[in-house]
Amino acid sequence: MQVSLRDIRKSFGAIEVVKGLDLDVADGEFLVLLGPSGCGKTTALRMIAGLETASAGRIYLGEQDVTDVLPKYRDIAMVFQSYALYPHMTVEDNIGYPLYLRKVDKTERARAIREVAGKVDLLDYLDRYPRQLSGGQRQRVALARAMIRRPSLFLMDEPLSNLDAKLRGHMRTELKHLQNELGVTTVYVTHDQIEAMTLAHRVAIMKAGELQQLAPPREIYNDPANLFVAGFIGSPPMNFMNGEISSGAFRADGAELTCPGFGDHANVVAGVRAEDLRIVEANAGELQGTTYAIELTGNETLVTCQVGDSLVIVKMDKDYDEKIGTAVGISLTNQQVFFFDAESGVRLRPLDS
Amino acid sequence: MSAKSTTSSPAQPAKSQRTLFQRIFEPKDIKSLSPARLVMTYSILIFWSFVVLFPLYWLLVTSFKLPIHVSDGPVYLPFIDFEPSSHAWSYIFFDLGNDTFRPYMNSLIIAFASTVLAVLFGSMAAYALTRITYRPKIMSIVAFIVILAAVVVATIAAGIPWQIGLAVGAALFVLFLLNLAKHFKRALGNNDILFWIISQRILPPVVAVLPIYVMFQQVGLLDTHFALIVVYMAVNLPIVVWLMRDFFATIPIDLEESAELDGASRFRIFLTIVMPLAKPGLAATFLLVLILSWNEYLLALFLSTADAQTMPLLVAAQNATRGPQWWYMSVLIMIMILPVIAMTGLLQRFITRGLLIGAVKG
Amino acid sequence: MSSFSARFSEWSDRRAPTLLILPTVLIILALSIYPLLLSLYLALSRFKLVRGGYELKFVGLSNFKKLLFGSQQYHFLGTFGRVSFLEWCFLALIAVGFGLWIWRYLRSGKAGPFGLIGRMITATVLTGLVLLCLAVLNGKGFPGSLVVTLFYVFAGVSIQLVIGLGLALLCAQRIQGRNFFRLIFFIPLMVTPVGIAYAFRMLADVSKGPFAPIWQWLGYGDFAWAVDAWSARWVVLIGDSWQWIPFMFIVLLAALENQPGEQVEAAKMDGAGGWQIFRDISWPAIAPVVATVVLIRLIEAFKIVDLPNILTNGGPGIATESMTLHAFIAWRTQDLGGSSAVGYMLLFVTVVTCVSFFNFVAQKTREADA
Ligand SMILES: Nc1ncnc2c1ncn2[C@@H]1O[C@H](COP(=O)(O)OP(=O)(O)OP(=O)(O)O)[C@@H](O)[C@H]1O
Ligand SMILES: [Mg+2]
Repeated sequence: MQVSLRDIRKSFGAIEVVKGLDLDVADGEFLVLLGPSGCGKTTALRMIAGLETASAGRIYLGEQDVTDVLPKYRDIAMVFQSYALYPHMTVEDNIGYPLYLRKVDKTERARAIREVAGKVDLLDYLDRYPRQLSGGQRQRVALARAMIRRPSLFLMDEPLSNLDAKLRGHMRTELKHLQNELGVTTVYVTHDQIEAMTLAHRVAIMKAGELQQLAPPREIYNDPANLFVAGFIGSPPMNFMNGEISSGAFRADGAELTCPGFGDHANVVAGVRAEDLRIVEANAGELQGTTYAIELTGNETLVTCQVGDSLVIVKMDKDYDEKIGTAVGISLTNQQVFFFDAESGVRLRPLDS
Repeated sequence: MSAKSTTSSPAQPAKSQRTLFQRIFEPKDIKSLSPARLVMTYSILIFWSFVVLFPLYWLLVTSFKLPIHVSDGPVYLPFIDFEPSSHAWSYIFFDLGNDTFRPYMNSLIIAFASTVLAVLFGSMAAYALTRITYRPKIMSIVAFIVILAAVVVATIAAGIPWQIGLAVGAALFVLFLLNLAKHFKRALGNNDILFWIISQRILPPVVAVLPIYVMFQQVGLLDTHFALIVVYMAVNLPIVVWLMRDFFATIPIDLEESAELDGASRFRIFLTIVMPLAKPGLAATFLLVLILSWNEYLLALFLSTADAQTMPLLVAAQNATRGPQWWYMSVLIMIMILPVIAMTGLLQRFITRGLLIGAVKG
Repeated sequence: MSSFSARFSEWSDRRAPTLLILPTVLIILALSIYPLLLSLYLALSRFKLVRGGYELKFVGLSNFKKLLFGSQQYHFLGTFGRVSFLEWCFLALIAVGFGLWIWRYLRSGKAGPFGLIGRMITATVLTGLVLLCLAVLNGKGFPGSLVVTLFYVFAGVSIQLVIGLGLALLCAQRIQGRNFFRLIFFIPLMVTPVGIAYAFRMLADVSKGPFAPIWQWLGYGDFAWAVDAWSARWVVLIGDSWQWIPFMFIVLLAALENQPGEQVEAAKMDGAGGWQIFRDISWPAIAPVVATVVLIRLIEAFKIVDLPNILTNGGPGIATESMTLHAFIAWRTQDLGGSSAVGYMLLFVTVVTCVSFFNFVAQKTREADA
């Protein structure tokens, strides 16, 4: 089932927390809403669910306008961040509750419960109470409860954030597999970019209630629409330098990059990712600086250099070592540099493209 | 902004598809109630407000009525149905004067003193029971009960004055604790002590008050502030312990441990760290116990006659031989409840929370 | 001097565990336990005023005998009517129910001697009380202070729970002015019971009270409720409920507002309606709180005295006399032994009821939820 949001807005009192969201989710798509804490992701999701009324704008499920339809008529299932399991019901009753409400008869219900419980590996736990389960198991109960009635849309609000790192990785794989198998349209909220990149067909990045970019993960990474997206995605974060573009070259303190095709611009931020840079001899390369800190992360070494008054991180292989305070040069390995307008954050592109 | 979503009609098939039944019995959206439910809710709530407020209103208007306004059947609205008169108020305040003020002062002194003491001692015990592990030996408790029973028998049957009996009993008990108790192993835990303290609330006051009456009579303390303060403190201690224990349990122990490392003694920790943190709980408990003491009737009836007479007794005594004098009574009741209502209005939030914590975890 | 104060503070710190709890324990021992034992002695003796003092004579169980079988039976237990065949059947049904309950306990594999004894006491006492109620509420029967107290307790607590919960559910909704209603509904809790008694006496007056026109219109213009046993009892009960409904209301409202909102939202998404949400989500969530407030009210309700004393003075006859009032009246007539005996009977009934409720009802809700 496809989902469309048309200029959705939401205010709490005088504060507008969602500011005109336009979003189309295709049938069967896994869409991830990504953004920093407090940017309005949960609010947007709750409006789709019908748990919150939109202050303005319309929401469509398929062809139907559901803006004013009660949640129980929307045929949407939701996995809450806290899982919202019913503490006094066993796993079996928790999973079967939606069917119980729909007066599905007992044997049919038991069969359906066993089927979904099998999918999420809970068959051995049906008699337990939520309090007797681990975090990951609870999460799977919530998932099973959402799956059992084959809704036309899944909503998930940071379902993995309460799990430890290892389990999170495992559940991510499971989620992706299940969604693919069921083919149910899914909107997934998170502030974890790894989750977004690994799970999503497309990622919608939000900031302060506004959509920044909506694109597949690779495009988001390789072709960020603005300064915010560029800085938000990627680890370590993209390196930024303030400078100016004049006569086909970007100049900043300790840096000079050619950028053919760009018009002159006084106030520019240049962004380069750490893996697109290499340390070279002093006075060689496009940037000049001194080493500031060197951190070995295991399979690579992150070298932070002071270039002018900004810090630039370079990813080197794990054998690299150097004294702190040494003068070095930095060169670009390929010409992956992004330019943004420093005031508006808008991406600058070559004039002729 | 919201105007946009509610006025533009063509794009809203969902709303116009709703049947009449749905329009009446189902809410328009998740944040509102259906019309039927709204009407029902408000009619019941308003009706109940009337049930709650009308008796108080009636007391208020009656306090401004002349006897004739009462005896000739009901009149409802001052200035319209009848001309209000302040005769009852002036009678209570000026003619009776001291006969009103003395019980009022008695009530104030007794209620406040007993509440302060109950909250202080009760908090101490509650704190101790959340933080310190006690293991009272079962045998010492049995021994204690035996000794106490012996004291009772000695007091009454053998005619020994109860003070002496109690002193001898206490001495015997201490001797027992010091010497014999080591030999017994079975012990109780904190929860047993707590349960024992709280369960004292089950004891109907009428069972305990007769011996207390006799005890106070023998030492000549009947009809004094002291007697009522001590007794009120005793009957309210279980409530304090019960409510405060849960507040203390929510205070993180790290704070106390760091204070302990800084060299503070237990009493200092209790007074300077724990008590300030438990302020909301203290406020709620204080108010609750204060109201209970302020309104208490039965114990006062037994233990005070004239000098220590409290307000509830004064109000109750208005049932004069000439038939009840509603106007005076109403004034007395008004001056009894107004301060409490004012105070509770201010502290209501605390009370709700205090009661809830006790009830949820108790 | 300073060394003394230092020594003292060190001593008090070392002894802190004892010193903190000692005042409470001593106060309770001196003013609850000791009087309780003394009172037992009083209950077993006859009190007589003699010149220059009084005299206590040990008389064994005769005070209790008088209450249960002798001259005070009408006052305490009541006057018995004939129990009809149908009512015997009803009683048998209850007895069989208790029998099954104990049987199931024995079969559960968790049975122990204390559990068995406790259950047998509960079953016996409750069946006995039901029989008593049947006997005195029949035809020529007339209830004594025990059954009247039970009426105040059980009818009162049920009414207070139902109305209090209903109001709490209404106020827990998203409506305008809920804080206003919450504040208003709280007020009766603070009014002195003596004042409530007088206020309701005024309100219930059929010729001078505010509802006099309504009574007249209904044709009850000269009906004297204070002369009819049941109407008098109901007036007492209404006054008591007026005061205590707020207690139930305020605690249950807080419990309802405290339940996790996401569970309710999840149920809404799953398609549950209002009633289903209450039955499946809210009620299980607040059940332990309900059990606790009911327990608190049971404990306090058994102590009722102010309202019947002032509203009706126990009358007509003994129709509205609670056990505490009964004990008080006995005390006033210098019958200290009888008074203590009534007090002890009250203690017994209260403890059996409250402990049974705590063990067999309140604990269940807690286990299910823990
Ligand atoms: N019921 C409410 N009343 C008032 N303000 C609210 C309410 N719910 C959310 N907000 C505000 O709206 C903003 C967006 O909240 P939202 O929960 O949607 O953020 P989020 O993107 O989900 O953040 P997080 O990643 O921390 O969960 C926040 O600033 C929050 O304070
Ligand atoms: Mg959120």
